[in-house]
Amino acid sequence: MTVGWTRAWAWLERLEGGIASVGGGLCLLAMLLMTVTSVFGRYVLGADLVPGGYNIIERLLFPLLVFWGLPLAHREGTFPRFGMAQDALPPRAHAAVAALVVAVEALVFGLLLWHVATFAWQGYTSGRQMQIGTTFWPLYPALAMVPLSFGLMLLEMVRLVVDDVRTALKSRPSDS
Amino acid sequence: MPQALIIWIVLLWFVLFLGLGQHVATVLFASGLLGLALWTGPQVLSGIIGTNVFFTASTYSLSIIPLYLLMAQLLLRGGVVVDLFRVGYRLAGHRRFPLGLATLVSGGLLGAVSGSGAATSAALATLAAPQLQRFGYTQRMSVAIAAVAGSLSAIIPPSLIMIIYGSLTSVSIGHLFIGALMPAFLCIAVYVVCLWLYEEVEPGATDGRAADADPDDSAVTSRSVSAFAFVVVLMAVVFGGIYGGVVTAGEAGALGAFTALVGMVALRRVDTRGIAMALADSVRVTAMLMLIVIGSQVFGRFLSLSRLPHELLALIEPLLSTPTLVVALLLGAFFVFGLFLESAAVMVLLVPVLMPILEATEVDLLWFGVMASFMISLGLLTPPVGLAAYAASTASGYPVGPVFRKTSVFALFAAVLVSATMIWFPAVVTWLPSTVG
Repeated sequence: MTVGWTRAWAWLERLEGGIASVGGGLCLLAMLLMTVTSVFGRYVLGADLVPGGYNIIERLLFPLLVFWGLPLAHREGTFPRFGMAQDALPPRAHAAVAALVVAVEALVFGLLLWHVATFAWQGYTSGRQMQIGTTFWPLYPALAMVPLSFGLMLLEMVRLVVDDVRTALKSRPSDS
Repeated sequence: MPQALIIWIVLLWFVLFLGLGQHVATVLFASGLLGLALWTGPQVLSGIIGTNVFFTASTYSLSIIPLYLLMAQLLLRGGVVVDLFRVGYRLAGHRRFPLGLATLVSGGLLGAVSGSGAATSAALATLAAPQLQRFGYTQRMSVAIAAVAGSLSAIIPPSLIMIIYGSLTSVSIGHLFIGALMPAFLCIAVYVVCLWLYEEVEPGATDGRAADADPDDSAVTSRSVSAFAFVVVLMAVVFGGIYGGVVTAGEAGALGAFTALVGMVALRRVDTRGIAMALADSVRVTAMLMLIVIGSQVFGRFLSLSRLPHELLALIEPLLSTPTLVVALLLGAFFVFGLFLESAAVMVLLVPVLMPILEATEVDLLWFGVMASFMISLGLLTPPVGLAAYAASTASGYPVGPVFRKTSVFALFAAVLVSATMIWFPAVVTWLPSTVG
């Protein structure tokens, strides 16, 4: 069971790293090249070399970059917090407060996940579209990444809560 | 439930969980959701959350953040920080004060292409602080100089918090960058004077003598000079493009990142792995910043529904006849929040709340944006959070408490002198943007 869990989390970690590094990184590279090509076309060739480039960046590449990057940013503890009070606590109290804080965070993201998943599903069933230049593309592939991102973050939060609760229960008063 | 009670519950939740160490973005989400649910009922959430989350992350003006981050990441991974300092080190001629000055200017130059105060401070603390010590500065002073130099990244454009401010207020980001140039130079000048007046030297330290084991490797010098020249070209591309009205701030970011990519590859400073890591780090930091912005949008929905900003405006209405006092109070709020919270969080938290007051005082939003960014940048140097001081202390393995005592002096002088100049002579900020092509 423990080995299975470890493997599952390791796989999840690779997945999150992959979609952020490869997926998000390629989105960023595409944004960079599209903008440079667009500027080059405008000033050197007098032509719009990337029709709809603005819309592609705004509605597709940038949101994908953000939502693919979120699970990795969360896992690596990039999000800022005011941690001085919590960090000053003894180990047992620290773990208990951390468990409470992350449990509330998991509830909040559970609620967010429900609503963004509903929004993405409604976007799919209603055939919601985005304007790209003079054409229209379906929006649901981009929308679907929001619940995926929040779902992965939620899984990590659950793991953190379990870890913190275990730490809080295992530590003896003498540890603090 | 009485509306006043709802506001108190939300504020209590906000302060409690922020104090307990919950992520700032989560606190913003939770407070906003709680407030909206109590104010209008939970059914309203389904119409707000999905739209707010996706379309906030789908804002073109914010999409320039990862481009500037990528530019900075490539320069950091290419070792340009080291080279900038080496050039200053050579120019200093083995004298203490010029070396300190070179460290400050290196931090300023790096700030022009970075945007990460903590990263620059840490890099300078590792690289410059030992050299500063060799020439007689105490360790505390050396680490403090590195922190101060790194903190300039927050005020020297392209500053990430200015991009966020511009996006929130619809002020031209290019104009913010150009408007921040003169205050940034002024800030460097004040720090140089502070360095001269408040230097702390080891007893018996001699000045003007080449330290032992100081090899004059011409290959290293040549490499450093070429990197310095490259940074100057990069700044010309980014700021020249914006100032000349040739490109937008977003396009300048893309051109800057592209130039950095080509330059670092041509100079053989980064390999494929380095580029991949720079891309991944830029994505990660962008995602972090954007979650704060998205959370602030949800919280902002509650604020606008509760009319809290307008209540605040009504509260200070008697002071509106003296707008200077009101602006000073608002800037004080940015400084105080900057003492405790990360820079981007301060911006997204305060701007929506204070916007009605800013509009009522008819303050120039461009001027205020530069001023607010400057006030936040001072928070990087002051306790209890001061990220630049923490980063420099951690990197050099020196306790942060004594460093804060030094960096606070620099911050205090800059707060008084630079603020006074910008308040009495607002053209310091507004003149250059008014000449943009």
